[in-house]
Amino acid sequence: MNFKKIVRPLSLDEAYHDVIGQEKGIVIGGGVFLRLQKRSADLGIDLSCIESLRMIQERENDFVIGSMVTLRELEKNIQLPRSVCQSVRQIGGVSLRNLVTIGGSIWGRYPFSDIITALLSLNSKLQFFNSEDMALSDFLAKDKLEKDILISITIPKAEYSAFRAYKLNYTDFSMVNLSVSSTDEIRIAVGARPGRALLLQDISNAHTAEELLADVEFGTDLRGSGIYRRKMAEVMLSDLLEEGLLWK
Amino acid sequence: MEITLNINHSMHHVLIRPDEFLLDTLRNMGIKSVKKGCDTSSCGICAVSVDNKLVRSCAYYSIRAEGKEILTVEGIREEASLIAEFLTGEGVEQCGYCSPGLVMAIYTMKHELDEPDIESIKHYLAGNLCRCSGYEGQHRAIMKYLEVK
Ligand SMILES: Cc1cc2nc3c(=O)[nH]c(=O)nc-3n(C[C@H](O)[C@H](O)[C@H](O)COP(=O)(O)OP(=O)(O)OC[C@H]3O[C@@H](n4cnc5c(N)ncnc54)[C@H](O)[C@@H]3O)c2cc1C
Ligand code: FES
Repeated sequence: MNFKKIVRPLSLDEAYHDVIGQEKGIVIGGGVFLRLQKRSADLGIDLSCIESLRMIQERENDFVIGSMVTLRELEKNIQLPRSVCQSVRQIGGVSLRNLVTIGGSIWGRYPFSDIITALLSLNSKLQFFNSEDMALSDFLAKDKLEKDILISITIPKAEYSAFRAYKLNYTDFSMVNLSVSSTDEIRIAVGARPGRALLLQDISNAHTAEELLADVEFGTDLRGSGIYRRKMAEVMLSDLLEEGLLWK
Repeated sequence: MEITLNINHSMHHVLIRPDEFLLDTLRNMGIKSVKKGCDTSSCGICAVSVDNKLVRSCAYYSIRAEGKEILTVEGIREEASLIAEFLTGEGVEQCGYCSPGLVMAIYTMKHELDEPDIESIKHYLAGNLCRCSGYEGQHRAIMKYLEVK
């Protein structure tokens, strides 16, 4: 994407003013995915000078992650739930993860996303400049996104959390990914199906991975067939559930 | 627009387009060790060090580099020659196109990994593509350079 002008606001107020201003403003997180788009915009709003968006804050029951925190910073932070670090480890390479932000990764709602799957199973909440706080699951379900700035992501501390992805090579997009977390309850998320990540519903009556995944739709694309994805997901989920039991 | 960049230990006033990427800025300035590979942030060949962090210069806005220390192979000549000796010692230099990015990755890796071992080296290098070497020689060279037992 080409920008005629890029502004670098120092505060969120200033940034939001640019977002809804007369020139059509596009928020720039890491800018890495925007860069691949073949279109132009009058104004890019670079959030990288807003210090508060770069913080990771630990509180009693959760972590608050600023939207401009990079995936590499998440990977190296050993305090965070394990699934968060695991989900970003194989994205692109160190030199990419030093640029890509958690905010851009969530706002993009990419169906192939690894980190969204991990955050969904952790029951993460999103904080915006203008809109009310929202659960990540609701954000993913929205038809259309209003102009806004994602400020931070709140991730509850987990008793247990783990992430698995099946990739054809180390840094490829996932063919399918899965995350299991135990916070206030156990949640299981499946992503790269290849559709957008979703949370498994009514899991208390299911006992095996096959039963748990029975209602999930898996599609076919150039990376693999729906049948193959389902089989891989079943194996990965059995592993994760076994690992979860051992943790207790 | 004009910006001031600290490149390889000296300050430069440069004229850039607002949305210019560091890869183009550096190459326009004659810093030709920085190579363009995929230009879609997929190959890692264009990697440089910004404030001691390895970044893909094809996806890094030049304006973001103001006030930061940018290093390319030209700025770490001695260390780069030493790294190159280890790479050639293992027969890794072939077409050479990915070498500058690889050298910068090894340079930042040395500063970032506290206790490097083969697994952390491989993990750090993943995504830095090389179409000639098959990586084994790179790993051997880096292990020797970092004196990994
Ligand atoms: C080569 C390559 C390989 C990749 N591999 C993987 C992979 O294997 N797994 C995976 O999960 N991901 C992968 N990704 C995606 C990557 O992890 C990021 O999700 C993606 O680059 C977006 O992050 P960004 O910071 O670059 O966002 P940007 O490109 O800056 O922005 C993306 C979108 O979000 C908006 N935006 C950004 N920040 C905010 C904010 N704070 N508030 C409101 N809107 C905002 C932008 O306007 C834009 O619409 C890959 C990307 C590349 C380029
Ligand atoms: S040229 Fe920058 S990653 Fe390939």
